[in-house]
Amino acid sequence: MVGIKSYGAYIPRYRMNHNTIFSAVGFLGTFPAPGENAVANYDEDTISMAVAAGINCLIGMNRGKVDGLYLATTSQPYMLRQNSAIVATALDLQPGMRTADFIGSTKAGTSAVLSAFDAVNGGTSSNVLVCASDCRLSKPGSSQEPLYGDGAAAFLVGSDDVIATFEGSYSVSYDFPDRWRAAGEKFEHAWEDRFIRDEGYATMLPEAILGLLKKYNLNIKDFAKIAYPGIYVRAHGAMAKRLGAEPGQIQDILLDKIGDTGSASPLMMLIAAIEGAKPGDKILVASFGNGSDALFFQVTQKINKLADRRGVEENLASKKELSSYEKYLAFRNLAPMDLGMRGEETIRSPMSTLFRERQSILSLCGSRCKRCGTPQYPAQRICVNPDCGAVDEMESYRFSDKKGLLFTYTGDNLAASIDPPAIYGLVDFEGGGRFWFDLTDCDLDSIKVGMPVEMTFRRRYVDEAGGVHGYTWKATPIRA
Amino acid sequence: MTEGIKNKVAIIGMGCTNFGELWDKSAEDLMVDAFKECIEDAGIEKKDIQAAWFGIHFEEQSVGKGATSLALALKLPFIPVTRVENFCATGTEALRGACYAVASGAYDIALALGVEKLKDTGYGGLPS
Repeated sequence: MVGIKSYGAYIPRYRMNHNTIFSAVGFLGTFPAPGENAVANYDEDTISMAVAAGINCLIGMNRGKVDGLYLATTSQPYMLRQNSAIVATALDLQPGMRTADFIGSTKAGTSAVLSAFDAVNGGTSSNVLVCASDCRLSKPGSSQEPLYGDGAAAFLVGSDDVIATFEGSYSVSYDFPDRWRAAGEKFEHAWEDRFIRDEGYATMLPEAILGLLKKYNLNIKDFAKIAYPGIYVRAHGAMAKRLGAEPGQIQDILLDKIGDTGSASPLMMLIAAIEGAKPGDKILVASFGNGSDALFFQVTQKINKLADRRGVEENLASKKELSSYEKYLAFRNLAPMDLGMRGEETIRSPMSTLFRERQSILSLCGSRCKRCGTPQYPAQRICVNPDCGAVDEMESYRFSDKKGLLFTYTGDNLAASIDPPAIYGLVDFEGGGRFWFDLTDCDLDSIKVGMPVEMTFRRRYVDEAGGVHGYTWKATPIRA
Repeated sequence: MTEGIKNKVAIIGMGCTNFGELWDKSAEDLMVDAFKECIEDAGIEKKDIQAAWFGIHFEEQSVGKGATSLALALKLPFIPVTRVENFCATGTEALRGACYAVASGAYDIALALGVEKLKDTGYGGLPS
């Protein structure tokens, strides 16, 4: 039976209170509802968050058996160069697979999940990882700014050991021009809220959900949880009434906690619903964007056997306030900031080197000596162990999923950084291996020698002239 | 009185990689390939090497500045390594340095290694 084998969520550590936004740009007339948004750090984007959700999803799963990766987003860093292929490489998945980007609509997340079910049902793939991730840029002072949050959700879709069976779906598609962004544009445009709410949200979502109930002869009361996005809080509540659902059936929309995470939003809610579910529960999830996809699932006994992971709940609890709106502008490059002359140096990105060294750079794979067992990074041909020195007797060895201890570190106030001081240090990995990494998602006074760290995939730089977004792995204190 | 180095130094082994675009090889890979063939040809062990001269000119395309990349790639951590650069004469500059070192009597066996990996600039020809 086709279904969901595993899930993973990622919500960035920073939260920005809506009051912070109001204090800065309230003069423009925006008046956001109380709450806070999840804000990606300066070194995070759609790709890095998709990788983080993917890592979380693959805990306890066999990476070697993943033969498909779909990335859903409306904020992909690359228009040409497949974003999903970068995610697949970062996750160290084998290349004998199908990758695809699902873009252009906030329903891309559910569309990608549906395509994954089709691929598994049709027999062309057996384990498809779907990552939905959005890190949307909003114009300062826009209504989207307090509404949108950053985050990613991932599902592994397959036909064995499923924690929730996929029972059916119903979709509607309209060229509904509520929001749009033409090629080359940085920010989206939106038509009037009342038009979006009444003609789109309050019309298309019920059309999909009620269409699903009719198609499968179901009653709304059959569902333990019903998850659908809620860009309008009151309209979200009114929808429950319209569907005939009890308030207890409706999944929290997280709007005041992380914001609307775009293509990831319905999947994030689905994860939260699965986290709170028991075997036998039926869950309905629907997306909204140029129509709607409605899907329903039934949770199985396997839910109790899924390895422990950082779900939505833990991600929500682990946070730090970003109290400076100006810092947020700097993180998103929405205001030019002076990084000194070191920040003006041109970065070149040799693509042939990146491709040759992709296992080192993007997958964080080093080597392990087959003769003496010493793990080493980057991959070596001559064993680094002075008592061994074996030549060309190495096997690939992945460090990205290994935890480590911080051996030493420093804070550098001279290095160009949008969030100085730049912090970097040496990490001793569990099982062996030591290397030098940047540290992120931490403050200088909160880290100490010997503290446990884990690895996180981040954007290292944006080379504007060359049009390159460069990625790397950084170390970070293990998130509470 | 000058004596020169004639008949005072011998090449006891050598190794050379294929020349080509070699998209799948880094400068470190090429160093290991040439070095491996060289010490096999000489019939010596790595520990017999007492000093090394390393020639690479366009460091921005491959290994970075300094001489440590040779020591790191070949795992020769406790010997002096001298880095030289002199455009197209860089390789012979390294060989000349190693020859003088042996001729002077400072070392019995020295390594000279030259490497260049120019195919990672994104265009043909030499870097600007």
